[in-house]
Amino acid sequence: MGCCFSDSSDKDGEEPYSSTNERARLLPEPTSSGQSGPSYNTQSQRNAQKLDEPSALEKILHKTVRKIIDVSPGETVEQQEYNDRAHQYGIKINMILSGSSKIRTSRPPLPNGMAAPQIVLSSAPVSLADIQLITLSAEKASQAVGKVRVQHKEDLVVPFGVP
Amino acid sequence: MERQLEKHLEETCRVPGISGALCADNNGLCLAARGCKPELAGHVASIAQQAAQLHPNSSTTPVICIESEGGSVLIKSENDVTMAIRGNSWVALKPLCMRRLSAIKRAMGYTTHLSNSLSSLF
Repeated sequence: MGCCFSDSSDKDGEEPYSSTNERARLLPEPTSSGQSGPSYNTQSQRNAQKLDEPSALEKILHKTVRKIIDVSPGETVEQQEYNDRAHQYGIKINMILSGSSKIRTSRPPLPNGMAAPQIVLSSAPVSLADIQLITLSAEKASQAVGKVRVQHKEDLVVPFGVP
Repeated sequence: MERQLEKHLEETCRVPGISGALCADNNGLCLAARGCKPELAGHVASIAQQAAQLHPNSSTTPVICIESEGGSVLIKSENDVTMAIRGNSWVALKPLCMRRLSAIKRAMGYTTHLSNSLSSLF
């Protein structure tokens, strides 16, 4: 009701204002759904709207006041107090990081990596000679594995000398 | 029965700049290893299979190069056999080469400052 995907029409086919059903609406449907209500509700709607306007405006005002974050420099903080607070927060963070073991377990066990990645990244890329070397080596290894044969030297099953 | 394969690995490791070689099958079984731990066969085979999935319609298998400060590893699979070659990086070799070069120069009587090229000796 009220959103783009809703269908405000009653799927059961019953009248929305029927008072015999437990699902009957107590309040008329809003006019924003596009359907026009019965004529005897129009005047009451207008009167209700007039009464609700100031309360609606007040609601909007309170909602805006709650949601607005005031970033204007209200109270000024002295430099010394700012430094003291920063120092205290740093001490608290260090205590939490060094003390709690739960935070340590939550960190993923990733390797430290390289000390100077720029050295590896700035070096020359893989040369064509290296690619040819590995390609040739892989082909030769494949051929060598294909030539592996079992050398039959002696029988596995030996008949015992049973008279 | 794997004599030819071992001979191939020995020849590969004789190439300057290569410190190790490993051959594994597609299940991660180490078929032969020189200068590498056999336990790495599983990782090598798995990396090759994962990289091949990047281009499943490609007719050739990809060449994987893992670079680090200590060296690089080249991996390629061919017909259910995965080959890995570990090479020393120039970055890691440079101090070693420079030390050896300076020792050679001192032995030959050169007293000039360090030079970056071997051609200065000739």
